[in-house]
Amino acid sequence: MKLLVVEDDVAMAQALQLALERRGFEVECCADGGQALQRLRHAPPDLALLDLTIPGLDGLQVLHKARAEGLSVPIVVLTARGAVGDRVQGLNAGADDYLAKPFDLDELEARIRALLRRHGREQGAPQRCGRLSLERESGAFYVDERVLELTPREQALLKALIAQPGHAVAKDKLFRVVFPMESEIQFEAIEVVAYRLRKKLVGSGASLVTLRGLGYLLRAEDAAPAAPR
Amino acid sequence: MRHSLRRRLLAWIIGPIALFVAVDTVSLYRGALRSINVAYDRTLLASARSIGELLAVKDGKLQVELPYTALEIFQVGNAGRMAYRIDGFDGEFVSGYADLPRYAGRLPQRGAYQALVDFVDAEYHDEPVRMAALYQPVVGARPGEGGIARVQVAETLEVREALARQILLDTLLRQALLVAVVGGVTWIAVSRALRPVEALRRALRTRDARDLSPLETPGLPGELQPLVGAANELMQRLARLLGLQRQFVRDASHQLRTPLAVLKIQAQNGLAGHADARATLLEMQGTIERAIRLANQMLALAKLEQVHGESAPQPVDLQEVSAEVALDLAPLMAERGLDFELVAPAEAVAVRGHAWMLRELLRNLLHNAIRATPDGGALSLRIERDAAEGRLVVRDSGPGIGPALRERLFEPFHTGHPTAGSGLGLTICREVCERLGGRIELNNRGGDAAPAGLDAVAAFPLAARQ
Repeated sequence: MKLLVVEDDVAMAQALQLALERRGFEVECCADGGQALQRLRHAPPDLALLDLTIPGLDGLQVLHKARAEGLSVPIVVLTARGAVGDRVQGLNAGADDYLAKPFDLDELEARIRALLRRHGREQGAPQRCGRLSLERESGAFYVDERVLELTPREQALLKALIAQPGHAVAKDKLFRVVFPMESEIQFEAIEVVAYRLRKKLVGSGASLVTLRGLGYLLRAEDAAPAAPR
Repeated sequence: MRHSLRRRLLAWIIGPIALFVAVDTVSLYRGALRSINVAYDRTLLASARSIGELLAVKDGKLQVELPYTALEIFQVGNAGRMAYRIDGFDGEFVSGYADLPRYAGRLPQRGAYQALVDFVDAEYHDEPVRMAALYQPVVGARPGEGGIARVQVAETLEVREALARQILLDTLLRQALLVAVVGGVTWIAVSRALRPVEALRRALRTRDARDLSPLETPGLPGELQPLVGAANELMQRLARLLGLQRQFVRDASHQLRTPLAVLKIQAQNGLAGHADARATLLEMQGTIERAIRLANQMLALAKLEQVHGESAPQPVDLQEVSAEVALDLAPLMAERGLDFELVAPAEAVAVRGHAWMLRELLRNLLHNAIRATPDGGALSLRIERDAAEGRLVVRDSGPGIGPALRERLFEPFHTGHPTAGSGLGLTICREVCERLGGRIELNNRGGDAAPAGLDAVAAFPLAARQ
């Protein structure tokens, strides 16, 4: 996966490059808006990270021009401005996602992978949480090498949760995934599925956390403390 | 000055006076005309009488013997030209100007003698004239001889009109002078009265932007004192606000330097090998998180102040905001193994506000509650409503707060957690409540003596139903 990092702060660019390369991406850096646009046109990466305050063309202009020219490269805007107005402006200008500096590296990686998946540029890489993993093609869950036996509903629930390990997913959203097209089912039925799934996950290194009235969350049991936001 | 006080006063004083003067002039002119008519009618009558005196009866017929001098007055008289005619007892023309129209009116019903006289407006040689008609009894030498003769004397109106014009002109001149004097005096009086206002304006314009001392107002009229009083009061409030902001900037820079100082020491310790590299980095990460949180909260606070009055509040569903923020903070709760519950009524609870403000408020309250709750403890977020307001209740199972701390917690940089808090969270919450017309309370559950936890309650007026 080839990433283009458009960032004029050298320290930031180097740190990002190092971190992303260690996480398995191929990274090119560029510190100027005009150059960035050239790269997007002639050597398009799989995804671009774009700082808004850069010399030459500013980030929003680069976005506007790229989208106006029909370039479809997924672009994540990174900025220290952070105000809601900027976020809306950025997304309106054609950004696919938006992260305010300072951000968490894990968060950045998750967003990048989610975007790449959405754009069909990354397939096959298994999703993991603890010792639990999802094999994408078969849709089967494994604890280490052992297949985890799940009902289709448990599988749907776990699949929705492992897409964003450590993040809570709202109950109504999960309900629609687990019980698609079924309107007679009571809302509480999801709790039964979750209860059984939690039992099956014992010993997998991943645990299902219930947030009553809100939703569920899958987290790795031995995970280092997540950074507070 | 769009609404000039001077112009207004002038209009209000001169306008009615000018109107009055105009009406007065018209009535004066009419009165003068009446007086002129009466006076000139009398001379007409005198002329008619003097002609009547000269009438006599001879052989049963009316005879007129006008001496030449008597006729003269009719020819040269004065500026006005005169004419007369005399008709006999049977109405036949006897003497004078035959083309002078015959008196056709009926005598007015008055007293016996005057009843023989009438004045009418008529036309003679295409000119308007005033005409006196006198019925003169003429008695002959023999008894039974005689009758009533009619003497008519007419006069053109030039003299009367000239006189009336003269009077009108005089009147107008006097009245114009009066208006001019009133106008001038008003102008001068208003200008003098407004001089202190002008001085006040100059004082305000030349004032230094940082000078918020009260305005000095020597010689300012009593009517303007309340205005200056209000302005001074505003300046006092501004001075207080500016003072608070200066204090905030001072505190903020101090607060920002603290994590930097800590980082520096932690880095130095790590580099000098006093501490294990991984442990040092973990410590540094904690410090960095603190600094980030502080910076974010200062930005949020600045934004709250910036957007004041920028956009109208919209109905915001507390359930939506709650779910969003709770989902966002769920990883923190999961990490501490907290027993979290979101308790919400079945229907939406919409309050008047801005979604981002409510999110900011709830994020801070939940964050505080997560920090206060012991590992594995219970934490709930409740959405409640009654007839007037919607409430967010964040219920933790922490140690509660001491009464002394309760109020001070809302002040910037006063924190109940010396190592972890930025001291801005509750300041932001209070600011949001003030912006949205809501209120915030921190209540120890089960009494202040041995609290079973803290209820942070933020209440907002319900949005009107659409």
